[in-house]
Amino acid sequence: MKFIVKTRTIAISFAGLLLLWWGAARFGRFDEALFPTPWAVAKALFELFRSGVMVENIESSLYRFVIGYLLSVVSGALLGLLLGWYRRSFEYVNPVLQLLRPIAPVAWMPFIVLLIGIGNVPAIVIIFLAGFFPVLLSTAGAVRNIDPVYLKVAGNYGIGEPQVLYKIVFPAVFPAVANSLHIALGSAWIFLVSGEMVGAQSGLGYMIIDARNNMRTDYLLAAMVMIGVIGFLLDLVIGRFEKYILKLWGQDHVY
Amino acid sequence: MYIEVRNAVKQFLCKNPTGGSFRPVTVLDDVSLSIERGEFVCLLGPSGCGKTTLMNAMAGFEKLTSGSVVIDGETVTRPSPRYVTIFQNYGLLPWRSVRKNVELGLESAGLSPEERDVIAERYLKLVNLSTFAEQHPRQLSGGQQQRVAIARALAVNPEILFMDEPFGALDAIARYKLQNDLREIVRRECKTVIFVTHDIDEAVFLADRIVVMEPNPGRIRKILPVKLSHPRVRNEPGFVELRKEIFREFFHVSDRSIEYYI
Repeated sequence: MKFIVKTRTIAISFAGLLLLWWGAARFGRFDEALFPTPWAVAKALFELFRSGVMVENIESSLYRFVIGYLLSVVSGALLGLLLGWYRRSFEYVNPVLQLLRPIAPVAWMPFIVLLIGIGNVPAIVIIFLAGFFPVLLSTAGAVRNIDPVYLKVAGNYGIGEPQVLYKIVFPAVFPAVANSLHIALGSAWIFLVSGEMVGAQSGLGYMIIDARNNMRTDYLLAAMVMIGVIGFLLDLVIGRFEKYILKLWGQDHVY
Repeated sequence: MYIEVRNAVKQFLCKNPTGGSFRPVTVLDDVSLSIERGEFVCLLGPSGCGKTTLMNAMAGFEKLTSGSVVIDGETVTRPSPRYVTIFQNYGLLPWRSVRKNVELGLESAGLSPEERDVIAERYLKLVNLSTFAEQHPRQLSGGQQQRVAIARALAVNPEILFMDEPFGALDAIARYKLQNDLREIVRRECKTVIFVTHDIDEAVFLADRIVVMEPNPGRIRKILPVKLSHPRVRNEPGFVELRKEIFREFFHVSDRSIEYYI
């Protein structure tokens, strides 16, 4: 019953969007070639899938995304663990982090493209930057605020370094890390597209630029729809993972 | 003597509420205490009397400003698996199963996984939780979680158990049951126990000696031996008499402090 109600809510929500879109395209005073109807975009999606263009671009986007995201998550969590644990080191590194963090990943783009050239690397670097700082800072913060009773227990049972880091500290902060993985995934996916718009010759972001250059707004919107759908699915997967971790750890609140 | 606390002083720097200057607050003021092997000693007193600080210093979690703690001829400088502490909020690791929690202290001892399993099984049986071995702590009640913590502590075969208000978060019935069980377990396993509490009843029920402490600054007011035989009955005349005596000690303290403030 709950499932039916939820499905119905979602269906109505999308139907509303399509109706507004169709209405704007039909009754708006835009050129039909510039503002395609949902139907035209659906046809474009079908064409792009059938010709293999879409799959190819999704593949190269996901390839960059997986590499950039995994790099950022692993290095962010590890470095966060060490910086949070060795408090003195954090005090030295933190000023630089706070300086670098407000620089939008896109701002690095021209510099990286000039340095390395276009291709996979600039997009991967952007995804990396988008994921790295949130994971690093929330891991370090969680380690610094770890419940002191865990450390007392570790000391009492003779668990010294480095075992305390992987036996006690990392598992203790893992729910907080899982939450930051969730947040980082969202922003990394958003920045993937901007990365590909500037620094790549393939991928969903490139599709948008390419469609604009060819005045194919139906392709353009089709790419946007796919970006939304894939982002939504990725979020769903990591959201499940986060919930599972919280449940396993016995916490029903979210950080 | 087995445990010897000599002239223990602990001071903190506290920020003045009125200004930025710091003033020292004395939490423990020249406390000396001797405890014999196998004794069950309760540190009893109102909050702020330094009972937990005294226990933490004995367990190696806190450094004294001056004075020393000597256990079995060795000065205590840091925690050790020979003296295990049990906390009010259990200190269990929520990501580990009950069995893995009990095995925590055995992992650094160089035992094989099979040997660890045997030991964990033995102590889970002792606290009547064998059937919960594969559950996670969150699936257990507070009383059961504290039993897991006790099993984990006993598994490393410590000489001393330090207990910091271990039953403070439990409901009355679970508390009575665990008090009975603890007494029985300690008798069987021959441990020395230092037990911090503010519950007079609990202290009289459990202790061989009660160390009554008073605040501002933290001091030992009186040490009372409890000469009742086990198992103790909470309404027997000797029990009630001793409880009254301790009550009087506390009220005397608060009378005096009221006079002081007027």
